[in-house]
Amino acid sequence: MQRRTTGEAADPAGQGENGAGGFADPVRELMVRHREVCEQAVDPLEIAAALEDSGLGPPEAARYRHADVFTLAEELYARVPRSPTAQRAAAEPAGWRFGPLGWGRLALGLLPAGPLWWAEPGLAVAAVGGVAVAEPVGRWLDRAARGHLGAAATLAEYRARMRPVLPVAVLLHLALVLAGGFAAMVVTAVLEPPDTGLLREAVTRATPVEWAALAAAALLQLLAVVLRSRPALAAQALALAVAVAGGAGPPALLLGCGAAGALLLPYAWARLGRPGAADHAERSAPRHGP
Amino acid sequence: MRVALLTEGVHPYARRSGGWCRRLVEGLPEHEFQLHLLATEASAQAPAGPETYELPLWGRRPGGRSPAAHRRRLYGRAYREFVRALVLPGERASFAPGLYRLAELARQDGALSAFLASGHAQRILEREWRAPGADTAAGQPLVRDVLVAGDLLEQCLRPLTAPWYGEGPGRLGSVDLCHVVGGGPAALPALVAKQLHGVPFVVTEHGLHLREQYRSYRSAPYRWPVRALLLSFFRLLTEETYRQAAVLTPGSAYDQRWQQHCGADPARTRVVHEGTEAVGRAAAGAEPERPTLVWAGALEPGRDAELMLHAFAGVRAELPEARLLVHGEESAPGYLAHCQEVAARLGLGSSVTFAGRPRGLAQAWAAGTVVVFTGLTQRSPRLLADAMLSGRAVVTTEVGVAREVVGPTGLLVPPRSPQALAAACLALLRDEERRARLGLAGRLRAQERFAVEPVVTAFREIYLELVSHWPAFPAGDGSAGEPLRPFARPAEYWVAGALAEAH
Repeated sequence: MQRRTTGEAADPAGQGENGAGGFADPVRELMVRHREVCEQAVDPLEIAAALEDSGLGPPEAARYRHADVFTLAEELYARVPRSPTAQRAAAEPAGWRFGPLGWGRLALGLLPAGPLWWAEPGLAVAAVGGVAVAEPVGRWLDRAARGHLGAAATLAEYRARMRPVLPVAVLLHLALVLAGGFAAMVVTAVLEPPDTGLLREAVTRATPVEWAALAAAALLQLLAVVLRSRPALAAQALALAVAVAGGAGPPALLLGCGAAGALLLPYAWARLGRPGAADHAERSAPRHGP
Repeated sequence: MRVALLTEGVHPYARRSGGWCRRLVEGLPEHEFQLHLLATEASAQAPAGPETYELPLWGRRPGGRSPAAHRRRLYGRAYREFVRALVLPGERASFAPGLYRLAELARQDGALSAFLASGHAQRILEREWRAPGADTAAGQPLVRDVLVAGDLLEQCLRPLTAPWYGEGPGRLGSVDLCHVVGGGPAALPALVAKQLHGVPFVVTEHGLHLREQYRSYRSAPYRWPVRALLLSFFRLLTEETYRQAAVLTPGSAYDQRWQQHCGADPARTRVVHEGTEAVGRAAAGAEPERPTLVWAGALEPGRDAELMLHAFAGVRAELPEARLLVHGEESAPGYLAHCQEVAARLGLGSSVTFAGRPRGLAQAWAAGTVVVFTGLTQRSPRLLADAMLSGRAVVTTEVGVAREVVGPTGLLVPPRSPQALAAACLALLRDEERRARLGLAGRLRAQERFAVEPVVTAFREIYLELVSHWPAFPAGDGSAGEPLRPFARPAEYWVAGALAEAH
């Protein structure tokens, strides 16, 4: 073996006589240099891999009075306490995709406007507006779920945190759509000035059944966005088919959408309490060696 | 005999792969090979080669039924045992039983992936992970850790659901031995095949799977508990693999040390160097007129091109006509610019050329007088051996595999030491006779160690030796508890058995 060690700095860690840069305890200097790795390590082998990556091999381990890198790493692992991890930047979750399902949602969400148009154009306008409102509300719900996912410690806590989220979202969505319907009705009332009060006319122009049909259609729009799955879309389509078969009027719409909503709502509520890895987790395969 | 090659990654007959498996298959035409590939990406067109059975390993979970209600309890019990081994330091021993139990259940109904993604499995994982005594030195797991870890475990355990077990064509029950190339999840089918059918297996690793996991998880976007759980899984899997493997063939003594630290038995370990086809290449011709140092490798801090520049400044102070050629592509963003800045600051000017990716490695080495490696770590002997095959003298930092590969045919310097490196380069640049002598010795050494033929011969012997040690009918007479002894029964025993069956 022809080994050149000419030059003073041939010995990389040693600047003093005691071997390692003025520390009486040579391993201390390594602890300082590799502090972060040691604090975050999950087992001594991880430190050994990191030491080798920094150019430390058996010859140098011998200078720290160790037989090999592994026992040196074990000493470091034992001497440096683990410290709670600094929060690592989690991978950005998959963005809000507007795929074929999105278009399906859009089309099915717009359909209830038809029966309502013949009954009361103002409510039809509100139903169209509901499609536009459902997406941001769904996105808010998603963000809330992600926030709770990051904060909750246990699955039970997550479920408890998620319990009020869907009811709040539904109420918010219904309030927005009904407010939109009311505004549209006020505009219609202004166009045809009534004898009674404007606001009273705006409410009573449409029958309670028509208002309820609008609410049911809006509920279904939101649930389709929340569930974002093919079966939910199928349920929505089925509800509309029932409505069409039942004469395509507001009562039929109320019946179809109401029944579908009543079935889907508990399901969606239960599902939101279950964190689904496919929906939220930062999915990525572990990376591999050469 | 019939050999099942188990590996992960791209198809070994695809152009991008290293081709190690291909050389082995072509070198042993007397054996029949079948390839079981854990594909990281679907290969569109199966290239020529042995019959291939693919299983997509990473990415979205393939659809599948959940286990039936009465089987969920069985799955739950096995999974609990398995998870306890991962998180409780005192329960490591239950890893293998848990794993084999999961494998058995998965074999019966193929619903393991669906089970691992279910809420039931998540609850089990959470309960065991947060149980008192679990290793949570740096923080308790949160809900998203449970989700992410469960998801990753599901991906890692997918080989257990592969339709590869049992007897019949393309099944592991009807092969004589398994050959795992690369370790990690690729060893799972071999472990199951050994447990189920008594098929022995060989493990070949070039660059240890476990070490690469430790390295890559350091920068992975997972919290401490997830890293701890997954690395614990990989470590226990590796230890179980090394324990069960009939023969281990690491690519270098450096890797062998790691394997032994993870419980590999030295008596069953045999270093088989990775053969390279570059052995047949002619030596580089005459040296360039100007004394030139060649550096090659990826441009990243771990390769320490900066050290080369600092050392070169020292060389140039003594030998002003010297040149430096830096070959390699940037793999750490901004590192090339950093190196150029360092070169400018040291006043190296036009004597340093950043030549980018070389057209061929042979030309790169031929353009230099001396080849220099300055990496902080050298885990693979590939590049070093290629340089030695050119017949140029080599200077390298003494890290990783360098000492065993170069041996007495090159100069070894400590890492991070510009003075020592400059002195070694100068010594070689000034002494033509020594340069030639070391270069030739290096070429001969590399030709001897890294030829393809010895690899093939080594595995021919290993295969035969293995099969001769293994009884042909492992489950033959219910003596499963007994240790297997070679030649425990005379040949007539088997002949008589065959006759008795025939009648």
